[in-house]
Amino acid sequence: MSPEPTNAAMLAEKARLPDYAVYRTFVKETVILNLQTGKYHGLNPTGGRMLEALERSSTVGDAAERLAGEYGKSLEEIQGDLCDFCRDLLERGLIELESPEPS
Amino acid sequence: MARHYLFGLQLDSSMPILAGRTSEASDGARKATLDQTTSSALARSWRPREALSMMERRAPGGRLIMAVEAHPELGYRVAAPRFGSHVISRDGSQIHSALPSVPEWRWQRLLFAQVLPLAATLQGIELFHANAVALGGRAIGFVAAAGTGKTSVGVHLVSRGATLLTDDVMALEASAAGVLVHPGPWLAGVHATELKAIEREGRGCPGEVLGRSGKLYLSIPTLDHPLPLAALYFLERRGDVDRLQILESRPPDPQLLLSSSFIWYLKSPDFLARHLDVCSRVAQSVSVSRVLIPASVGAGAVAAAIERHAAGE
Repeated sequence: MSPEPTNAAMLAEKARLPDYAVYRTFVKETVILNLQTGKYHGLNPTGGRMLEALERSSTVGDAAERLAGEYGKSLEEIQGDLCDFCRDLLERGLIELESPEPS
Repeated sequence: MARHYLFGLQLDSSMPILAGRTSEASDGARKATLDQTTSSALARSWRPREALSMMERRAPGGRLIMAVEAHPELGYRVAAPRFGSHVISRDGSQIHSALPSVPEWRWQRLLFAQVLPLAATLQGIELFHANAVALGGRAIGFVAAAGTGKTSVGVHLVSRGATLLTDDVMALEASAAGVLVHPGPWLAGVHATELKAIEREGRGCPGEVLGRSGKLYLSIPTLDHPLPLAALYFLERRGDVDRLQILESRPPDPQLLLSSSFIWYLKSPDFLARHLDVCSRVAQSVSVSRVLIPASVGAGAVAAAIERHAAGE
C-alpha cells in the first residue's frame, strides 16, 4: 500500500473525480454517486464548494487559494482543511490525484 | 392500431388499452409498439437459459407472483401468472404480449404497473413510485409506501375537482420548463370504502368501475399532456402523531428523493446517473413536504389538507 501523500505533495497535484463518479447539487447538499457501487455520498455545503473548486482548479493548491478568498480564512488553514477533505474522498474512492498537465 | 400517449411514450397498440389516445405523430417522441402474440410464439422467442433474473416476487407459500428477466440481446421478459407474459426489446421500443383470457382491465394492471414503465425507463424516462394529479394547472405528486393510501388520496382529490395525471407510477423528465410529469394510464385501484367515503361527502364516483380484485378498479381519464411538477408530498402513516401535519422540507432531503425510484432493479451507470440528475432537478425546482398522518385520519381529510396546502392556504 503506497503511503498517503503529504499535504505539500497533494497541493501540487490535480484532484479529479474518476469516470465512475458523478455529482449533483441538492440545494444545500451535494451528492456524489459511485456508479460502480450504486452508493450515494453526501457532502455539506462546504464540502460541495470544495469539490467544485477542486474540479475547476489545475491543482489542489490553486483550489485552496480560491477558497481562502471566499471563506476569509488563512491560506494555511484552508490548505489543511482541503487536504483532509481530499484524503477522505480518496479513502472512499471518490477522487483521484494526478500530476497537473504542463501549462 | 390505436395510438396512445402515456409515461412519455407514443405507443402504437394493436389492442385497445386504458389510456388517452392521440392522433398526433411527433417525430421527436419516444415511440413504442405493443403487439399481441401467442404464449407459444412468445416462449419460442425467449431463451431463458441465457437470461438473468432481475426480480422475482413470490407469495408466502412460494407461488410466483411476478418475474423479470434480462437477456443481453432479446431484452426483458416480464411475466405474471394470470396477468400475461411480455417481452420488451432492449431499447424499449417493441413490446410483444401473450395475454390470458381475462377482462382487459385485469391484464392491463401488469402492463401499466411493470411493462410500460420498464419500456419508458429504457427510453430515458425517470420513474418515481408515486401518484400525481393536476391541481390549479400544476402537477402535485404523492410518494408513499404501499398501503399508505396514496391512490386513495389521489382519488379523493379527483372527486374534489383535480384531474388524474397518474396512479402508482410517475413518469418524470427534466426539461427547460422544469421537471415534467407525463400522464399515465386511465386505471386506478382503490378500496370500496374510499368510494363510499366520497359518496358520503356528496361527491360522485370519480371514474367508471371496471371490476374488482380486492380493490375496485376504476377507469379515470387523465390529462392528455405533461405538466411541470410543482409539489411533492411524502405521505407517512404514523402511530406517534395525534394530528395531521404537513412539514415543508426546506431544503428537500436528498435521501427522500433518491429512495423514490420505481424500477429499482436497473442499476446500470446510465440509469443511476439519470435518477440522480432528475432528483437534483426536483430538489431545486419542486416544493417537497412530508405529510405525517395519524391512524385515525382518513384519505379524504388528507386530500383536503393537501388541497389547502397546495393552494397556499
